[in-house]
Amino acid sequence: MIASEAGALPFSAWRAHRQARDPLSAAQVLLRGDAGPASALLAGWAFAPDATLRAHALRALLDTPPNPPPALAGLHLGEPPLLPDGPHRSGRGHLLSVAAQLPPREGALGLDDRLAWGLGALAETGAEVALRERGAWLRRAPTPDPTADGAAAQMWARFFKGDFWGARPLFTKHFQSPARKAFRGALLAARVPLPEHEPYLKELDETLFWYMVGGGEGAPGWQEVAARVYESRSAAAGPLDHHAQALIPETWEKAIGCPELTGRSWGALIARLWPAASGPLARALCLQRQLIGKPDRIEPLTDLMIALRLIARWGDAEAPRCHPDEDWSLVLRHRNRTRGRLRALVMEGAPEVLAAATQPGPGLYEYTARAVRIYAWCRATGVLRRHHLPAWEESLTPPCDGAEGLLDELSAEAVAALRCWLLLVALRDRWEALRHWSATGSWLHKPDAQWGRLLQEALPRVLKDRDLGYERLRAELALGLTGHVNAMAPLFAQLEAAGPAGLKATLVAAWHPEVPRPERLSPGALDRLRAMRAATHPLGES
Amino acid sequence: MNHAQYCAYVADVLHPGRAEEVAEAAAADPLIWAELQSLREQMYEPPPAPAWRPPPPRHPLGLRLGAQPMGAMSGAEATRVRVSLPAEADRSALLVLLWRPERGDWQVQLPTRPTQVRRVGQLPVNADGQPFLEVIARPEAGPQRWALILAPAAQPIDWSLPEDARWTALMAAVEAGAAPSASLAWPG
Repeated sequence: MIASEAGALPFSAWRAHRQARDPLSAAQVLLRGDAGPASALLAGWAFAPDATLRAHALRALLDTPPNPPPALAGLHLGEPPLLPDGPHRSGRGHLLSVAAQLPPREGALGLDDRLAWGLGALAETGAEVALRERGAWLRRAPTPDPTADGAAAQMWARFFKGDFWGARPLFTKHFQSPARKAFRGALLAARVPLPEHEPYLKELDETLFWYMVGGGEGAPGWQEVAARVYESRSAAAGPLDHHAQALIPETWEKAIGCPELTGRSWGALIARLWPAASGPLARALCLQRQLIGKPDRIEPLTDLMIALRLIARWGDAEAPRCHPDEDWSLVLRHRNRTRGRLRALVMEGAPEVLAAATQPGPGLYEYTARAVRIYAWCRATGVLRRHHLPAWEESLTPPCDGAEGLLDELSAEAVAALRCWLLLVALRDRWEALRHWSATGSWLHKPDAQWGRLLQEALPRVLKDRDLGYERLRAELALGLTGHVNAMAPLFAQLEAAGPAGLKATLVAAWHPEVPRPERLSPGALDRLRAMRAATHPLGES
Repeated sequence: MNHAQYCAYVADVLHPGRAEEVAEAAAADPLIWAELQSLREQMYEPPPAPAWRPPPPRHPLGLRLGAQPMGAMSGAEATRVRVSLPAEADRSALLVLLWRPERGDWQVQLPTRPTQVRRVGQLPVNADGQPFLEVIARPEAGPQRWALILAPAAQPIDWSLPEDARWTALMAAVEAGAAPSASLAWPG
């Protein structure tokens, strides 16, 4: 039984479970090359069923073993203290109780201890993610209220028709009070003095509906609320997957280019999974191939990104951060950001999904009221920052700026041209120059007129960027060079069979019209093509 | 867990996992439970009372008003503003003018007694055929707003009602868009 299955447990049950988990044995066999028991400890993470992603997590742990301070070393090593059973809590709750009572562990930790600590911490955090960040969304059941649900449905129908005046009395009657309550809650949370509440609440009363209508740049409030309703009705494995299912390729363009998915944290994930993806376009291409049309990939990849961040922090040689509270803050920060970005994209690019989510149904009032409350709470943060409510036209969700464009997959014609051009590169003895350039963007040797001509003159137009640059080509080669060479295996077999005497005729028959054909083949041409195959090692192709 | 999370829990804005955590903590700790109870009382909100909620200045759902400062002294904000209504405004509608300081309640400025009732058709008209009126700001009140409401002729003001009930029906008409309205900010 793991915590993610059981939910909250009494201390004794959690302690027994923790003892049975035995991360030390798992670490010891992991060091001997058997990842089975260690993999089992990752069960709570969404990436656990994927052997490749799981292996990356364990590899990261082996590369950077945790370095817990003595005060926290006992969190996941040895026997935890015996505490009274008390209330049922999740693993994190018990860990925090244990952390407060742990004696410092003496003596340096061995590698197996450090790995065991990391496996134990990953097991606990993964179970907590499954329990709180996925399971809790599915456990939440709204209370049906036919009258209120019907009123909410009517209101939504009017918003979606653009009948704002028609929606307004329903909104005011049913949702103004929940909004006030949440707004006041935010003021209380920030310890705004009570006498200050009323003027702000009056301002909210007057402005709230106009936020809903919007009219300036960015999404109007009613769409933001509808997106929250959609999110709350998550029926998928988790809210991230649920959002991802609503996204169309054009919307992914913004997701893949937005700072959340191109920043340091996701960058570290991409660097580990696809080390050859050196430029921003190559990184975007990786994510594009992972995510578009595969909405169930966002949860595993987000979880792995978070696990890698945790492992990096635990293993920091100078200032390791190993407290379970810090771990959980990191989990929430990343998951909330990713969820927020995806929600914004659903709002922007999937209006039909929002309309479907607000159709009549049991619990619609409760979902809507909660979404309005969150909206009002967020609006209160404007008061706390600026001492007045934002203007009515100011959208709550910032647009996703600076998105890189999606890369169209190469057409069959372009792929044929590319593979022919690769042959030409090899025949011109510039295979290493190409590999170096695709990985780094720089030239292997300078000056190199031959390589310059291959890029500028021999490369078919279809393989160049719109501005005649080469970023698209580099991204393709960085990720897929091995695949392209492997795909030419039948041609290589024909060339071998033809031998030096029949080489030219075989090449001419296979040559692409967009690629300049070499007039003469040098005596070493076949050897160069053989070397091309031999020199192409896996480059982390997706 | 902290005070802010308890507030968020009572306001029901936490995502489900966080809400579960707080619920478990409250079940385990009477002090937390008591704090949540206290917050519930502080956050109680009665159903919304009728109120004036005209569209904010320049809102597309509001009446299209023109505002022309009159007689401004050099470097000073004019306190007299000529407010024009759209030329197509319903001439039979009754004109209701509200005023409020930046942080305060709307007050009916016009009409405050039956003899002050004016229809749009009784207003002077400018060269563009737009009815207009002039309003005068109170600089001592700081930033302030006016709101103009065109009450449907079919919904006359019931002067027999006490003042706090007199405007309830018109407030509802504004709320539903049946009485066109708009507001202006001063300084503009």
